[in-house]
Amino acid sequence: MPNLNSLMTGGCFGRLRSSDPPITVPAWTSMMSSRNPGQLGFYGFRNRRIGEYGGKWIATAGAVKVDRAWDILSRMGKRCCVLNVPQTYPVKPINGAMVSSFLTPGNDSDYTYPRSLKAEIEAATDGYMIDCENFRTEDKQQLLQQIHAMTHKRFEAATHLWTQHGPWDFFMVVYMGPDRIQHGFWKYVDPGHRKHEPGNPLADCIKDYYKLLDDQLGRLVAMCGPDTRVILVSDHGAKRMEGSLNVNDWLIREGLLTLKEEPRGVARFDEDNVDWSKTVAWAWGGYYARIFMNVAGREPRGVVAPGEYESVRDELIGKLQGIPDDTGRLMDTRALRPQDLFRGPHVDEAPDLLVYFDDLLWRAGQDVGHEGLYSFETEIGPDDCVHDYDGIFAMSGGGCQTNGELTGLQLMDVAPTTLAALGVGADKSMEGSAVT
Amino acid sequence: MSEQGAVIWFTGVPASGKSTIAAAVQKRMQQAGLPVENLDADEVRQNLSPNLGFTAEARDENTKRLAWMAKMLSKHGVNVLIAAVAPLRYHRERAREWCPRFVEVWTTCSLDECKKRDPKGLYARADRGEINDIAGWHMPYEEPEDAQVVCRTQEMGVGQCAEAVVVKLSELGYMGADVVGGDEGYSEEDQAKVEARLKDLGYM
Repeated sequence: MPNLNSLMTGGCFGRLRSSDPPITVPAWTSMMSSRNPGQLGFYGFRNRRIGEYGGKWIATAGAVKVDRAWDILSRMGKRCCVLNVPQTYPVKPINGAMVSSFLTPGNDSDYTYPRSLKAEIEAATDGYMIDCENFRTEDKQQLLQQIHAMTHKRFEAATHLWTQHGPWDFFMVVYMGPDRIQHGFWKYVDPGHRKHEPGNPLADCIKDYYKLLDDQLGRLVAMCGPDTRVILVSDHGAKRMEGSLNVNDWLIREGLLTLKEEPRGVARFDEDNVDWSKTVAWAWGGYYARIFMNVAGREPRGVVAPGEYESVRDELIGKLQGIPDDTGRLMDTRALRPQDLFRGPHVDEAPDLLVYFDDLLWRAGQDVGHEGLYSFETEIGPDDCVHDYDGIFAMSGGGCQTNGELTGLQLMDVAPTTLAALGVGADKSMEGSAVT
Repeated sequence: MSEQGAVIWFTGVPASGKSTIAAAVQKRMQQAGLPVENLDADEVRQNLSPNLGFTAEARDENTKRLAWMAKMLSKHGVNVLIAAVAPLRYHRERAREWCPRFVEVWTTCSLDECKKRDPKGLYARADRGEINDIAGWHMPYEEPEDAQVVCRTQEMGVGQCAEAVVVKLSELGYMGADVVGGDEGYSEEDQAKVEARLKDLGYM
């Protein structure tokens, strides 16, 4: 990947520690606002309304109440172009242009600012792709074609925005393709994956895809000109998925969650089927587990007395961290208190525990009625990888003063770094530090 | 006595988006559990002022009646939305004087765009020679000099405009910050599409 190599050798680079939790939302907003989730008020795409068992809301752009880098730059008269950054739908006015990302319902939504830009993007890309459709298909060739097509269209949109509406003071484009291809194809490329088949025809598909990305990186950098400060980031890492731990089934086995009616076979977890009078905790699944405790006075039919909250939570932590994997090996599970992770006015809205099963190697499945605790086809279909804590950071050009490999970088450093590159000081409430 | 309600007057030429954005703001307020009344100018005219035409004097009378109703409702803590052209600055300034928590929202787009939208067929009727009293075309429309919110409806979608209004209301202290953001922008159908995509991608 010569263009990535050029960025690294011409400037600085390092691992970029993601947010807790290390998932797209809140990661990208944490990155571009330099705020931790306790300040932001969301801990994933969906978030629970405290005090309502089934109440949930999706963290759209409307949930972002703090400035992201482009808001600050817009107010200062800098021209900003933001393309496909997660959590930008619904789009908001900006001093420039915005094309929202995959929280957009569909191509018939108003996904651009200004509104008139949508027709241009559709024309320039011959039909814009917000995201891959039917991601869970077993037809992997079709999925691979979609990922490539989406990547080319993203590049076409970026090129159009630069050549027809540039130059820009700040230009940001996010490619979701790496995330999609890794989730979809990891087992084909990683001999360590339990479903890997040596010699399979897709063994190089991720490597080849990264070569495509590197080529596009080079062309975008060339398009922006030699005096441009280029910053390459990713919001989290990836690694093989071992399987899915059926966390609500585990809670049921532990006597901590009781259903009114036993499910016949695997069933969606339904809060209406929970006997709350006999339930201490329940969970949401995904790339990490969220454990919610049924606290008296906080929840409609809470049973955990407030005075016993910490001891019950400690007990839960001990039990969760003692779960073995399917071979009997003790998992390296981390059950984390939000108070230890986050600071800010929204910490009390966080789940009672954030759980990374076996250091994130195992997803959390929230459906119930499985025969065992471990599933190797997720409830949603094929998924080969999970997220990891470290993404990447590389920066060079445009007066970059730092060289070589850096350590200790975190997601929240990116916004201050971006602002510093444009000669703008970071907001005092930003939590990261600028790399110059 | 309950806290004074806000009066949000959506002004702009016909088909500039006033009623559409007012309806979106109304929905946001209702979702937040806030008392709100949307005084539709046509409905009020039909029910309270059926004999009023569209002369300058008639428009003055109609806007005066709307402002007075808003004053009465807002006194009792009801937030009032009015989508009415109110073509003269004087109309809006009178309402501002009567209603302590008054917010002027200007919806604006090109005449060509208005003609393209034409939800009530006014511009088509004007083209056929049936009417010649459309504010901003045949008759004066005095653009606000200092509207608190400007919705350029050719550049901004309905959701963006509604969000701009509720953000302003929150900034002015007329309602809490919890009305801002959240699930804003999704119809039930849109929410289902996004949830299906997120589930497909493994996030839910």
